[in-house]
Amino acid sequence: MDWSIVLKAMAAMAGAALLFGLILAIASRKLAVHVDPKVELVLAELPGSNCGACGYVGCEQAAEEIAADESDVSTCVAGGQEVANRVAHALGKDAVDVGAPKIAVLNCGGGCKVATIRYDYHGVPTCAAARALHGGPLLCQSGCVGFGDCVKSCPFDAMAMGPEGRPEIDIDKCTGCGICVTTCPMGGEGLLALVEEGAPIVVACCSHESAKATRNACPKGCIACKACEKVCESDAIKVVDNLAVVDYEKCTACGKCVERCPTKCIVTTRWFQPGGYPAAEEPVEVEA
Amino acid sequence: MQQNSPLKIVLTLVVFCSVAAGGLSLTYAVTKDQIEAQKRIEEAKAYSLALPAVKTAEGFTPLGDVARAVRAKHKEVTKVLKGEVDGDLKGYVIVVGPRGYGGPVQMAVGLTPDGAITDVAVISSNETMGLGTKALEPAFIRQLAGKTARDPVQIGKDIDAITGATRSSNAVVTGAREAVDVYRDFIRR
Amino acid sequence: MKRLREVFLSALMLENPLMRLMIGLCSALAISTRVESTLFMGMAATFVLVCSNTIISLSRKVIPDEVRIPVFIVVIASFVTIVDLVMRAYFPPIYARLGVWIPLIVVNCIILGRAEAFASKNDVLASVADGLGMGGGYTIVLLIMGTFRELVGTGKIVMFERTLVSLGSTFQPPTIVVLFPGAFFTFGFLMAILNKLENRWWGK
Repeated sequence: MDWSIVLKAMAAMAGAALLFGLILAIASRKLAVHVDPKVELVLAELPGSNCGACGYVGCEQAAEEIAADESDVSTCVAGGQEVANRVAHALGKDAVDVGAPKIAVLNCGGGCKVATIRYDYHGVPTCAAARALHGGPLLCQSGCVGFGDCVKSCPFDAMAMGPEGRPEIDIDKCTGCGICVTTCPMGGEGLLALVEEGAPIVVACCSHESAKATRNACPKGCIACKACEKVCESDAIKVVDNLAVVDYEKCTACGKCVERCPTKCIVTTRWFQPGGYPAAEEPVEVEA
Repeated sequence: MQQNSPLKIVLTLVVFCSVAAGGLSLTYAVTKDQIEAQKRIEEAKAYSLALPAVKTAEGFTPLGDVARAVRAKHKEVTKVLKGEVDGDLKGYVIVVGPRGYGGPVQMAVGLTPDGAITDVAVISSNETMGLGTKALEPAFIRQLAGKTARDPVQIGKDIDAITGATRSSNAVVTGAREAVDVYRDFIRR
Repeated sequence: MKRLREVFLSALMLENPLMRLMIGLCSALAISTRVESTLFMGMAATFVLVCSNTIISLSRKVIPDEVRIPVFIVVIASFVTIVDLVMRAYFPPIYARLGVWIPLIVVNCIILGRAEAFASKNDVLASVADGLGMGGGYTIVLLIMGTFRELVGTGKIVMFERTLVSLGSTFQPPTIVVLFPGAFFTFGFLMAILNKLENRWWGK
């Protein structure tokens, strides 16, 4: 048994380890990254879902910006008032009023199972791809094509595809972050929009087409008949550019427009709840 | 991330490395002889394949002085051995490593006492499986049998290459060429 | 015990290193030209993985964060060297077949990856289970690829110099299957088949 080999090997390795150990020890001191303890405090109060609604890449970056005073305590859109209060408390700052919380609503009552279809689409199953092909398989250029890009994008799992091929939105989980609105290829034209959490009614159509065109395109579309405008006692709903628009400051939630609408395109926000889409014959109730 | 003391850092690394070195050198010491023995067996097998007349490892004797002189001129030649059975010279084995497609092709070329190729045994290679390796198979090597330094021993002249495996074929032929040259210049005296 | 089973099965299937985590691919693509090679490569890698996971898990509380990478590599390289020496001494034909891929086990992403992601954060038994699962999953996928590539690419399967299966002399094997592009094709198709089957079975 040649022990000299063993000793030589151990000496060589120990020597190398000594050298590199020293180098690493020095390097870890000199090159250490200084972490601001405030960032940790703020980060602990943020939801941590990295949804990006605040405009920053993730909660970590948002925390850094807030701690460095580059951004307000109310930066977290998804967290709302509660998170804003906690962040303010963690930094020893005054609380800030965030404003009313928002939720997402779908301004469409049609979709592939209800509205008129122009062509059979057999392509990549995303809304973006379908819309890219001459505006989508629906005759209505503003309608929901139903492939669920919004559902996949929701970081809070608040959306799911409904039975009629349109997304359902769970108001309890929705934080109003607005990511679904930016993801939806029609979001910019109002297919998905953010409204105040207490909004009682929504016009489930965003098409500005004329009455004739809308009738051809979808049975649930707004035909701008102005029946809602005439029946509203608070001047809260008006037809502008072939589409009914609600003024939420004036709306009293009386529900008359919902009853009167001939195409039933004005709905309660409860309509979007999971299981909330009523069958055609069921009467619609309005809750204040 | 809390900071560890430099002592702990250096000590941990030294301990792990020393233990590893100890364990490895012990394993090495235990397996060393077996590894050497395996190497000898592999070599002997190759030599016997190249020079079938000699069947035992002991029949092969390295010609150290010749090998040294050869290596000065032919850098790819690694060993020169003579093969004997009961004192009777049966031939020579030249171990040469010409560059192939995927690296050096270590081959043992067997020669008769008059310098004609008996067979070629490939010791190691890294040629493309199924393509370059075809140049290492008997069907190709058969072409080299009986060649001497007087023959061209060249692709295109008296040897056909494998289609699509030019470099591999060339490597084997170059090795054979070098072997017969070594015989002509250093052994036949 | 139930946790160990979960860890093992997850490493074997749900988080299969080659098909799901997509680590350790280079050795898999290169070595899967012969069933024989894949079998021994899989065993060697599994051995190293289990051993290194064990040592690293045992010493996870004493390794300072600043030197964890050098320590992991030293541990892994040591076991690989042991495998190398033992193979060279007692299994020369396998050693010749695997060649340079034995030392490359040191930088096999699976081994360093699991050391970092699992063994340094979990107890010994779980780390062993993870090692066995990852190694087993690696070996199984490797065997499937190797069987296909050797059979279709050369027309037969040869183990220890004996031809086990042969597709006959009339079969002209498409050699590309055992060349580099064939490795990628085989891997890609295997993944596609797996995804399809998974969709059908788990309906996701």
